[in-house]
Amino acid sequence: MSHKSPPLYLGEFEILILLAVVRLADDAYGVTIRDEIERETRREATLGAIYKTLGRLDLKGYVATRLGAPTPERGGRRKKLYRLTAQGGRAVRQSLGDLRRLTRGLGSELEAL
Amino acid sequence: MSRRPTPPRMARWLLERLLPRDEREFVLGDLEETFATTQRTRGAAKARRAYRRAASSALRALAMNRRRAPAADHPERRGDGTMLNLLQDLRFSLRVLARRPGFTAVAVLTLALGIGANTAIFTIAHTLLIEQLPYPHAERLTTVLENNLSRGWLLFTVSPANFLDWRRTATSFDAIAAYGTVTLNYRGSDAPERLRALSGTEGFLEMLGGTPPRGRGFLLDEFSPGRELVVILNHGFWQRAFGGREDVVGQAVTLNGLRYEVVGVMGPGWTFGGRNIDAFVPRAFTDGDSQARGGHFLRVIGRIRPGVTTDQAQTEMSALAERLEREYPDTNAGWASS
Repeated sequence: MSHKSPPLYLGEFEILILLAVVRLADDAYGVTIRDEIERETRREATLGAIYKTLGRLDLKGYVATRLGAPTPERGGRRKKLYRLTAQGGRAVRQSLGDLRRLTRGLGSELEAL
Repeated sequence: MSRRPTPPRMARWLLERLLPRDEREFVLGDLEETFATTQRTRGAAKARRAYRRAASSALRALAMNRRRAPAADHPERRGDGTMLNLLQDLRFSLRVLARRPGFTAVAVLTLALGIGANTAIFTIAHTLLIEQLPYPHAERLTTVLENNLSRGWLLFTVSPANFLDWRRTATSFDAIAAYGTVTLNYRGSDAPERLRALSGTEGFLEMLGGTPPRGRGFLLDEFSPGRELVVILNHGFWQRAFGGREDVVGQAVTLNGLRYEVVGVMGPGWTFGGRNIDAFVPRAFTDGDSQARGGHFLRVIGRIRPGVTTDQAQTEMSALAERLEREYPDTNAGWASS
């Protein structure tokens, strides 16, 4: 198998973050991404872990950033807003497809786990 | 109405200084926003604790693991404060050191050697420059040298005839003596040994406080040729070669194939400028020596008379050298004393 093209595989936390970014649409930045993950997965996510992963995803070209408006709640500081790139979308689809394919037909077995 | 609660000042101060500039605003904003929300729902204390935790996680994620970006990529970072640069350098070097234990070992070793060398040099400087010489009237002891500026020789050892003239005529010193180091081959009961010895003219040992507690010092006539085969042993050599035997005084020892009579033994702890000296022999001048002005090989020390300044002694010696220069133009042209 050739590894010439950059691999699209994502880590689990990367998938969670990218999905959160998709769900949050125009309002995806550090705080909302963390809150979205904590609310939906019931697991604690630190801002540090989120920044680190977002930085990596940015380097891989899976997310793009733009500046958001400052709010008084943030002490007048702007947000760094994230959105999925086409490449990022392909990576998410690929990962979710892999999961689907591997779980296909595993109904009772998965229940038994 | 109480003041609006604020995030922990120390944590925010650290973030402002340690976070990379291109992330600082967004991270601080996120933390501030979280603080406001948490404070509304769970109270100020919990909000402050959460702020500290989040600050530390953000610092670990963004400040600690970033390589330094080249300045070209971040032209706006050039204005970083000195302190920020320093912290960055510090973090960077610690990471590099941790990643390369071999290099770290070499660096630490280099530092250790440097510190060691410094200590050694200071020890020498301390002995030579700071510590008082361990001799009586050390403050009045001075080295007398010749110089020949026309040949570019600033400090030069002294010729025998010039030394003898100085000793005869100079009034600034209450003692003046010449000496040199000599090597003596000693045949004891064991293997032959090369001894380092000082050969000094009369008064030399006494000027340096060397009065032998065992036996005696050199007699005046032992400084004349044919009578000079006497030796005073230094304490260390006496212990080493003769086991500290008291009856060594009066015995004969063979040095350089000649029979020397041991006339005295020095007390412990006597050194000469920190060097270990095994023995002392008299320096006798032959008739030939007293004419020899061309060969400059003697070291001379003088003890300046009380009440005479170093400058006065220098003036007298300069005048003396000028006179000798006039009297012996062949050998003394250009030679002065200092």
